[in-house]
Amino acid sequence: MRTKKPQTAKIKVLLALILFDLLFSAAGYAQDKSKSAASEAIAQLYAAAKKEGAVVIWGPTDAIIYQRMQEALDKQNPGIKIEHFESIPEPLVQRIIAESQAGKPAAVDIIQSGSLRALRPLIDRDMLAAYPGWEKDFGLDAVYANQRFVGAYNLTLPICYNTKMVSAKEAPRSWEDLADAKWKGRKIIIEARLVPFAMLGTEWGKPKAAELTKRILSQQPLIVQGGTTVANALAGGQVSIAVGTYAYTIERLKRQGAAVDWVPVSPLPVLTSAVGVLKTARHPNAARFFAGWLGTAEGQNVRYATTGQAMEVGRNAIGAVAERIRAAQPAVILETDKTFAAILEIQREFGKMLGALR
Amino acid sequence: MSATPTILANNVQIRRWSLARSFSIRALTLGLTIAVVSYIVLVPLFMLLYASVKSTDDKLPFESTVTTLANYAAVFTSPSTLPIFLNTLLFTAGSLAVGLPLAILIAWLLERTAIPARRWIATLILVPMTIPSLLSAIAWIQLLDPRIGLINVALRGLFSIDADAGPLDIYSLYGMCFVQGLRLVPSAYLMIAASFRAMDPSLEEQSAMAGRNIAQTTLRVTLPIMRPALLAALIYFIIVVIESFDIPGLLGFTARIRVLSTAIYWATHSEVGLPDYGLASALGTIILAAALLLMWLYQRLTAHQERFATITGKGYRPRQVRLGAWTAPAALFCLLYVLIAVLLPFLMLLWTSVQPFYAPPSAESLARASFEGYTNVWRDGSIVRALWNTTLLALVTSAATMVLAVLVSWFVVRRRGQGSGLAHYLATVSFLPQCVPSIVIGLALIFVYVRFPIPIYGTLWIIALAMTTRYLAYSSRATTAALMQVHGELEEASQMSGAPWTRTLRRITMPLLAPAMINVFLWVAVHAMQELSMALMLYNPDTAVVSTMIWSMWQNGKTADAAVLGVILILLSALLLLGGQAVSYLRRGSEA
Repeated sequence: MRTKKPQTAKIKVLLALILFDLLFSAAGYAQDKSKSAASEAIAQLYAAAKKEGAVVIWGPTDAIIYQRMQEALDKQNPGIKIEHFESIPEPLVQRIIAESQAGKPAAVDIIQSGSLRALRPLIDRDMLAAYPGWEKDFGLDAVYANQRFVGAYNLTLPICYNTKMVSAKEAPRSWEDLADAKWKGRKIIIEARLVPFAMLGTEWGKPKAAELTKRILSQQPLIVQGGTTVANALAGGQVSIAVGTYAYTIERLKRQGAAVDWVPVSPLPVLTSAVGVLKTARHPNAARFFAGWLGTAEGQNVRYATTGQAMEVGRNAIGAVAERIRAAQPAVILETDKTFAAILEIQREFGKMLGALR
Repeated sequence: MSATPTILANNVQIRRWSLARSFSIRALTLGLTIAVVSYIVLVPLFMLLYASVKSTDDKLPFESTVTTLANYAAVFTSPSTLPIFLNTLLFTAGSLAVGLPLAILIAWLLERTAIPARRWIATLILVPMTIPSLLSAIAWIQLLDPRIGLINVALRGLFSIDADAGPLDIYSLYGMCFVQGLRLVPSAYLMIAASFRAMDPSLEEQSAMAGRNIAQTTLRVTLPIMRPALLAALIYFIIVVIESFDIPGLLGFTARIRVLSTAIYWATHSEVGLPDYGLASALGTIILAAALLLMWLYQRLTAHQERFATITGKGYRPRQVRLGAWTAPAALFCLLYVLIAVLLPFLMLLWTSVQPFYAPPSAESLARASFEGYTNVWRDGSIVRALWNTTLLALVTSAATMVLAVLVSWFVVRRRGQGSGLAHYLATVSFLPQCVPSIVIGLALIFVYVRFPIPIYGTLWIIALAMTTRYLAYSSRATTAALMQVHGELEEASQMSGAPWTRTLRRITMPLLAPAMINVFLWVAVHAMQELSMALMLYNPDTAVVSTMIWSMWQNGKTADAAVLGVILILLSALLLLGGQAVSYLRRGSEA
């Protein structure tokens, strides 16, 4: 009996190994199958997109990005011409709605915005088409509103500082630090829409965020409109601290020689620039394919190399901002379809602190 | 001898027929003018009033089914409203206090005195107009920012002030009034100068003969004669200042000084869902009510317009006052304005155009300077198209606006004596577009022309139409003020001698109005080149203009490229101004 035991054990181990191998192979097979199914789906989508021949995208992205993307696309997936119209999303969204109501759908396939919130009126009117393939076939994680939006890039809103005026040690390490008396008297510049503070409200609750915002506003900061104006004021030495410009902008200014840096404070608000395909798109397949391609490593790399913009959180994140976020591991407040309504409501409320009538 | 009564009868018949034909053409033109002006003005006006009573809970005006006064209630019950109205009042009064006296003084110096190089200075005075107000405000921040503003840094160094900020602060009510006031001068100068130029000197000469000095004559004779032009300018610029956004937006908002225009802007650009057109329109309607009140006042104060007519059939030639020892200081004063309002901001813009990001001038930033932006902007072929679109838009808009303004003025001035309600109607309606926020005009045109069978939606012409609507107020003010000073007797004499109305208008009225018309053309062209709000609503890839390109470059952080385009736009506008002024001088030279 004694001699049998090792043999039984050996058999058991052997059986276990065989089972494991079988399971592993099955999983691998399933994975391979699903990969090949995804590739097959993308190939089919591309073939349909190529037939349509063009994709029309409206949004705030610089034309140069689409020129670079066209070059990259032509190498791997030729036959789709990108037609781009650069403008701010709000008037574009109004035009799309007005033209659609008049029975003349706008000649646009994809609408892009700097934040998910700007596309909300289109979601409310059910004007965007859902496409599960972005998640299933392209493997993208930033897919929102029942597969109606796909993230194109993130805009991280950290605390930024001028390194000539403030050392890394002295720089605020938290949002509460901005209320410190040493920043009183126009030493801080804040973007007027108060987006980071509204996003803090979704994490902390409105009362706590409102109380801190009030305290910071009582420091007599400069209030300006637009992230570029905020970044320029910081780089030019107009102020020591800036809130409301993007981490990628600060990274770009650093590369250009400006004495600026940013702190990955926790919690860290991150906006999502998204694209959605209109139900009335004239090139629906090209639009789905291109929107998905934007989120792939290839699409991301082209965008990042041209402007420094990329997905900065999540599975597909790349670039300097993403690396710093990974290293610092702050809690991230990500703008998603679940949070944008709350952000808008708090933003509306906080706007009154700056004298908004409603 | 027997044939004489027949010939006379025939002549009388011909004259009657000619007069009847003239009347019918005039009536037809009046009808057309009223129809066109009513159409282009009342559409956005209707949109303003309609939107102001529609619920705007994330809905566009035509989507909302609920009619409500909630937007007005929001305006009048908000604790922010009183400070906004007070700030608006102070900002308007302060800007006018800086801008109008400056414009009147400069107009008087350049038109009625013998200071040297008047023609050159008169052209230079207009150049500030060519700097888009957004870029002008940015340049002034770079000059007068309390910390890094060049002037403040220089003052601290000069007077050994031991502080890291000040002594001047651009982010204040007085900073806003100063910059806005400076920006008013060219437009106000244009409006007033034509009237100074066309003044009959005989009353001033009589005043001088009665022993009054220059100051007394100016105060007691010249300025009262100028009353229609000055009142027109005052009323127009009150509304302009109330409606202007860039300077209160960039300077006032920064220091949390809110005015009506910033409240309208934030209602329509709050990024909180769709624009709040209800609130913006309710605020716009309040400005509209103020404008109507001002128009009523203006019409009462200039009811007997013939008192102000100084160009009569009796011949005139405005006398030029000799300033003696004050000649050089007067010329220097005008040049100082040019230095402050043009040269300093333009130099800052040039500096920005060679920097990768804005930094105050220093050895370090000088090392970073690069002219890359000047080559970058041409790489993309779209700039050439944008420049062409901008030029075309400027020329079409200014020609259309000028023709419409002359016709409006003629009917307003010449028919008012006949007690025509139509004249009052035209005068009022043509002024109202100034009270409708640009973004509302843009939205109204989208809603109308996306449905309307006229195929201008998506073309450059819809932007031209929006701008013609917008600039009709200034143009008709300027031409009306100038026409008020042309006595009707010249036209009456022409018509008595059998000339049809159209010929009288072409041969008598228009040549006398030519200085004002050229000015209107230039003013509209330069402003059309810079306009952004309506262009942003209405443009598409084929109709992009320079202002929309500057905006997108700025938004994308390409500040140097945006500044380069700003410099190009300024030079293009300045070229247009110089061309226009050259035409004006050549014309005056040939007349002399």
